[in-house]
Amino acid sequence: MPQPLLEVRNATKIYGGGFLQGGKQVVALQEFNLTIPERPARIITIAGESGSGKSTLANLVLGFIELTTGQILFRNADVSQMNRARQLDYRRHVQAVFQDPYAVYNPFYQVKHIFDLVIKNFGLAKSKPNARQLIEDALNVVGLQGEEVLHKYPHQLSGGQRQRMMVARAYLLKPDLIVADEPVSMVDASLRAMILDIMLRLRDEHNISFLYITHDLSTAYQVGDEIYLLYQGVTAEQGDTIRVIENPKHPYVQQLIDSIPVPDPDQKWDSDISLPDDEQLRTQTDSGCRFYPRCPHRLDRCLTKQPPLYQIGPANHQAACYLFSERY
Amino acid sequence: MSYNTPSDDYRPNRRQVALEVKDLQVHYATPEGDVRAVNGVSFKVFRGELIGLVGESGCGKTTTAMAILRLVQPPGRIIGGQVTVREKIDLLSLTSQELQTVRWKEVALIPQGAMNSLNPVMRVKDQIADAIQSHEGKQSRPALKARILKLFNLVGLPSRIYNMYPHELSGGMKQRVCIAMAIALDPTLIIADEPTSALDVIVQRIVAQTLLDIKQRLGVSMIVIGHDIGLMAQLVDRLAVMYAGNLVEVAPVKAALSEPLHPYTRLLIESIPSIKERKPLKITEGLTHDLRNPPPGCIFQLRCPHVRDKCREVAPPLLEVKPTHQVACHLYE
Repeated sequence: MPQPLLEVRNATKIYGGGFLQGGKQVVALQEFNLTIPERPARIITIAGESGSGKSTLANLVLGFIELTTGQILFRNADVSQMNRARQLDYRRHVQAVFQDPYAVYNPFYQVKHIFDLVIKNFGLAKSKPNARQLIEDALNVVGLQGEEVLHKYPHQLSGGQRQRMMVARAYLLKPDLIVADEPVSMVDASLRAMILDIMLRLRDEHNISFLYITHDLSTAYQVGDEIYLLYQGVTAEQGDTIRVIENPKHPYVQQLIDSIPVPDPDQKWDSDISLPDDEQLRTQTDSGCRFYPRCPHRLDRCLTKQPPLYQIGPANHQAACYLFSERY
Repeated sequence: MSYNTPSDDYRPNRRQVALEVKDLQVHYATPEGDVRAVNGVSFKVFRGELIGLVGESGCGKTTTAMAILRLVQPPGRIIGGQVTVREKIDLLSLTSQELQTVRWKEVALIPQGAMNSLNPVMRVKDQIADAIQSHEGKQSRPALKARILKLFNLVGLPSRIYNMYPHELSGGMKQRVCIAMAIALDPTLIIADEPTSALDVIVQRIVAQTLLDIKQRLGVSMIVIGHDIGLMAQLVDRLAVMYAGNLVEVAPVKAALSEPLHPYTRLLIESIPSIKERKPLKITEGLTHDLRNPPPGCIFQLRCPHVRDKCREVAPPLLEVKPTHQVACHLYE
């Protein structure tokens, strides 16, 4: 197998446990593994509800927080062991687009400022016209024109435009990977497709992979190549996006996909569901399956040990559930 | 339990009207002129009906709801129109004292981000008791407790949360506390502004089921504001689509989704990402006009694929083109 672009190995992140928290620990991410190949570029979805650990993963990959145990390797180099120069290089190759296209801009500057900063920090251009050309190219990739937007202030742009500019800013560095943390959840439905289409084009025409962090399985289904579904910090199911969403195996993923409202009044939710009365769901026991309190198929053995990922189908389709321990 | 609603055999004319909004106009003052956030909106909500108000951010759906409750904050102000509850109480002409007694008793609100609207230092029971007592006067403790527990039961909350503080509850439970508070006085109408927006899909489904359940049990009418058409399909009887301060289409939810008439409604429905079938993305350039300075004619002309000369001159009125199906578009005149 060729050298992977990014590899996350047994990543575990534990928050708290310190004196001030009274020793209470929250396992945000547990023994997580992920490999992004160098080529072809892929859109890899990390999906889950709030508290599932998906943003923790994004922050780990971006280097905002440090792992408790495990490793993140970029082209076989451990990200946490890099010196400053290598770190800067890593930042150049791994870029980010965030959820809120309103909060990332400084309202006192024209939007051009975000591009100028990037060009200055990474020394991308030798002259002003050169810089302007780079910005123009990046804006064209996301379907914007420099003269339309660059000299405006953030409040004068629509949410969709702002989010496209953030993608353009990331593209300016010609990264290999863009970590997109909920990039469309604050953009109106009619403009969402445009951002997703830009992601597809960057993947196909510019070989940029995406770590697409989302809670919205429908958009993941429309654009994603592979998917990792997290539940309380543990991978519940992973595999090819279409295969997983059309044929989910893990009881949690089945319940999740079943709950997505279908825009057709004739296809109503078929039954009532309820969460267990004991809503202490986030107990964070180290032993046993996290989904046990809500699982319709639970077995006694689920309480003893967290089930490992079992191979349940082709193309790396795996689920962490004892229901599949014997079948495959 | 089935939640099928009688949207097929809709006979609105025979039904009691819970709320009627007529030519409602709300403007926001800005240094460069007024923004017409709600520009002559008219619709009816029938008794026991759930109507969904949808549209993208900034289209005026929340402002419409706030205007119905007369909660528009400056620089916004209600310019004109009528809001009538049960065909007799005109909310916009009440004095503020009269309004205080009517609000919550007739029209209750589940605000946007409702779960964060609970007072963090007050027990859940005290907040609900407060809502009840400020309208109905002081009541005995046992009577209040019985009533609050009954409300909990109606929204599917366990009685053990009676003495809890909001931070001890999950998001879905807090949302249901807000629903319990909204039905505490048995109102004619509940306005729910994005009742499930910050919730995970499974919890969203539970909250939506709770809303349907109380609608069926209490016969209360509801206006649900949102932008998730999928959720609306599961929840509402009729759909009202708003664009740039105007209603562009009002129809039973089934008709609105299976045969949308207004080009904007079609765009909105086409842009729903499907979970059943993978298809090419439908991309639309979305530039809305300056709301301070709407162009003459139709408000959707800048984005409409079917725009004609007439659309640039005359604004299409909201007309009933089929029984129970209203649309504001020159294509259907």
